[in-house]
Amino acid sequence: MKLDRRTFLSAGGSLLAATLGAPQVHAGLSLFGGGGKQFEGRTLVLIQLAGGNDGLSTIVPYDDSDYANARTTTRHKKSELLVIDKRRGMNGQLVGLKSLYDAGQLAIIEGVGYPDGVRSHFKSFDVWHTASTEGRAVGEGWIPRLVREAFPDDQAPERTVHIGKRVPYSLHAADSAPIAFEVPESYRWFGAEPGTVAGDVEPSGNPALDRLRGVQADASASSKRIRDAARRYKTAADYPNSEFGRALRVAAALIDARIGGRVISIEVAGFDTHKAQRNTHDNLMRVIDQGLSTFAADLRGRTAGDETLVVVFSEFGRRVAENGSRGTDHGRAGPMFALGTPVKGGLYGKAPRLDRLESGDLAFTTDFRRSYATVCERWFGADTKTVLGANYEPLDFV
Amino acid sequence: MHFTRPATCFAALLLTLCGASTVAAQNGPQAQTEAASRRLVWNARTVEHLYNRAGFGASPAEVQAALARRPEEVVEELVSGGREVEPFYVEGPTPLQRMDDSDLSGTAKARLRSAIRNADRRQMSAYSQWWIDTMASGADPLRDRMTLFWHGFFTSSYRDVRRSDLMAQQHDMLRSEALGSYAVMLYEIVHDPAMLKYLNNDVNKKGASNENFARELMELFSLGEGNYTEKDIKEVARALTGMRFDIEGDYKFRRGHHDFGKKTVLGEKGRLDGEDVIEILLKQEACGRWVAGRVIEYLEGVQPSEERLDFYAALLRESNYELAPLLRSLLLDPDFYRAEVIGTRVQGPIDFAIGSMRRLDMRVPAGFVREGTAELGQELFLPPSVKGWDEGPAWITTSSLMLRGNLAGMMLGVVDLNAVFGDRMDRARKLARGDAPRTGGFDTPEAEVDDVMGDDGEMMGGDEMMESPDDDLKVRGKQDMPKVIRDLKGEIGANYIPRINLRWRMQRAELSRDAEIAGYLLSAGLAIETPEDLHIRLLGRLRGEREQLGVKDGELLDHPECEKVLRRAMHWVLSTPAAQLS
Repeated sequence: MKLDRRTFLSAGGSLLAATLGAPQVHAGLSLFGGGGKQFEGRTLVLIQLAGGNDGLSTIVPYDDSDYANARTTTRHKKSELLVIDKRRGMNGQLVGLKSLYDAGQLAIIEGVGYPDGVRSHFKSFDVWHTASTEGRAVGEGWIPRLVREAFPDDQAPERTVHIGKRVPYSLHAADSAPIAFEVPESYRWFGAEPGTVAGDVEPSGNPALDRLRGVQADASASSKRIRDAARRYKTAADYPNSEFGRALRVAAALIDARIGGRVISIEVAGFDTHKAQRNTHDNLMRVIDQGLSTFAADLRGRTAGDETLVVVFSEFGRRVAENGSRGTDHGRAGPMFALGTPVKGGLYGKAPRLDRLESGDLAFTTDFRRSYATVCERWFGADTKTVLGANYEPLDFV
Repeated sequence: MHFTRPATCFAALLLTLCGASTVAAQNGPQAQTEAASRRLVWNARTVEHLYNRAGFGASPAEVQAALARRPEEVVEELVSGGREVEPFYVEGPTPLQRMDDSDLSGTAKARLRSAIRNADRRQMSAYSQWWIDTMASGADPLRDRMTLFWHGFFTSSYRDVRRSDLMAQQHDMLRSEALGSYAVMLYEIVHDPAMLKYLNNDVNKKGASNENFARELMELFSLGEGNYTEKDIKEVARALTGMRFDIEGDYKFRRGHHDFGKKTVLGEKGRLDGEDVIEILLKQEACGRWVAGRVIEYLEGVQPSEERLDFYAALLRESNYELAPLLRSLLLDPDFYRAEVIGTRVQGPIDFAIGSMRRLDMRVPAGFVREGTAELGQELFLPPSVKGWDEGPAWITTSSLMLRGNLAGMMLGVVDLNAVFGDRMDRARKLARGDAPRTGGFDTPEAEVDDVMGDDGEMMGGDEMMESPDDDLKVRGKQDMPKVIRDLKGEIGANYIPRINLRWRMQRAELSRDAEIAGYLLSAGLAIETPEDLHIRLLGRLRGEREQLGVKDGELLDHPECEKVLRRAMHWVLSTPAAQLS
């Protein structure tokens, strides 16, 4: 019935027909054949650091005199850092991630950005979410395009899940609303599930209503599966007391239950550190570190661990110079992380130079879509050009 | 209330600034408006649509009353503002807040601050509830609708402002100017203490500027992205230096912090200050387009065509940014009633809650509405970002759709809070006893880095006024208890009895057969025309329940279980996808 509804919808509207019809065609023609067997059980956990993470306080060029000159109140000295090499140190809070790095399971992608970087939170997130500098004008987010290309036959509503309240545009699909929830236990109707009947699939003549009916059907179908997965999940891992920690635990439960989560999205907010940045940012780093290292430890040594790739990004980095309020304003390039047992750890991209700034910002060296291309081709066996609209050279982190 | 505003002089100044042609304003857009209104189809559907969008819905009686009048009359009534509402009495900075705590010991200081914080949260919560009641009263529908719009447009959040009196002061300004002048609002917002605090202008100073306010002022409050350069942002940030406020909530210009140097903003040079920047912004063609576009998109639910945007942007500029001509013309525009617009907008949580109350003519405790809408993602005075709330389809995810149904069920007294949130309550109880590991509440991650965020979950915490560090365990358990449970529990606990009598309404309307009852419940519960299949399905449900009671069609109202059956049916109606649209 699920399939019927979507097929019907696609026949109903020309826009939907275009977006929905496309993958079926490509699946046949694609070099990758829409995801081979080795890609079948894989999951991408996509973590978004909202607000603009200060890259210079995450991977710190501690020995660079330009850094020392530009940063006073947000400066990290070598002794406070987890030193990687002669140039870089990881933020002192990133203890767990540093051991992952040492174990070769953390990739740091440096200098990530895109041409003519936008310093607006919203516009820049739109670029990241759609993989296009045109932003929302291109329509859907990049995740539905990816999942449709990699798993053309997968119609399970849980193929993309956001754990949290606000769903990023990256998950926005033309034909359905994302599965999203904060707490699995109350992810259900009490007493008055609207229910569906066969006649439901007929278009009502009101596209907004048809879309909501699709959401309702997805909600009905996914409710029990998600609650069961969360309830049954047993883990020895001690997830930290944070919304992020809780969300990651749910992510692990969904992966463990194999209920079809191809992409699981989680947001951590609070990175817009215009004011009194040092403590705020360090605390955020600790939240990230504790969450991600517990998650990695939880999955390690299991099939789930081999089949899970975590990617962390933020909409932009921050200005090199501090502002007058012990904080930093919006900037451009910043680092990304990729982690998990399938990751080939190390440094990727290229560290931006502090002596060659682009109107006060770090110039990007590595297009973020190269990371996306890595996810498309190497992780899911999906054709980059179909998903991202152009070809980008993958990085070697998987 | 707190400071005198040279707003009137400012508006007069604008007249000359914008070089408006009065003649053009009279013969141009307005003439077109009148021509347009002649083609407007005025029926129950379009009247309800008008009230859905220009207010928060209407009861069937209100729709009938409006049908008997001319559209111009009804629109004029909306645009000129409705009944005056008694304002909330806002307590300014309290004696506690003024107190010098530098001599106090650490514990005493913490205790004092905690008391201040709790008292302030109570006032913020009470103020939100006052506004909810005002919206639900329908006293001044378009003003409330537009105030909600401006709250999301000129956004500030209590999370960062931390003072309810400043949030209330901003809200009062937006409310009084909501149908007035955009230019005056822009002027006021640049001098607004809550905004200056929210966007860090209180730390923006000469030689060390903070660009936060400058950027959002242009990107979100006036021009829209792409209509200024990064250099303009830096220059505007310099111009805004020194614009601050004092503890009384009065705007203060601090000369010592202001950068008196030369600046260039959007091509205009000079020793520019904040007032100059406002003038420059209002002169930009992009400003009229941005504001008109946002208003239309909010009210219609879809972006206007270029042609209509041109028309309304011109109208706004020609009227010196007065909003009444724009709103009047828009609400009488046949395009406002086109099929693409009617019944296709996903209602925001406030729309859904207030609209349901108004259509059902049912009073629900404002505290419940506050907490419920917050849980659905629209917490008044705490918008998620400076961009306000994303409207439309973004409101709906699988879980928010479920939660809307569940909250409607609680409101109608047919769903038990414990059923919905029981698991979370159990966990919270264990946490409070300390016999479970702290797995945390649902605080946003900022909560862990900024104590104010932790406070976010406690706006209702009236009984925490006197909390002390000794109560740490108890308090911690409480903090871990998800806000929605604590607060909904307080507002609509086991003692809640809904004030609605559906059986009486059926009797009064002389409806007794299943089909009649289903028709009534759907038309009362939905903001849109009833989809046919919904009628068939509700009829099936009603029939099933009636047959279980062993009653013949037409005799349901005589059965003692009748009211429960009707409430369950209404709960079902409000849980459907159709009930989420307006």
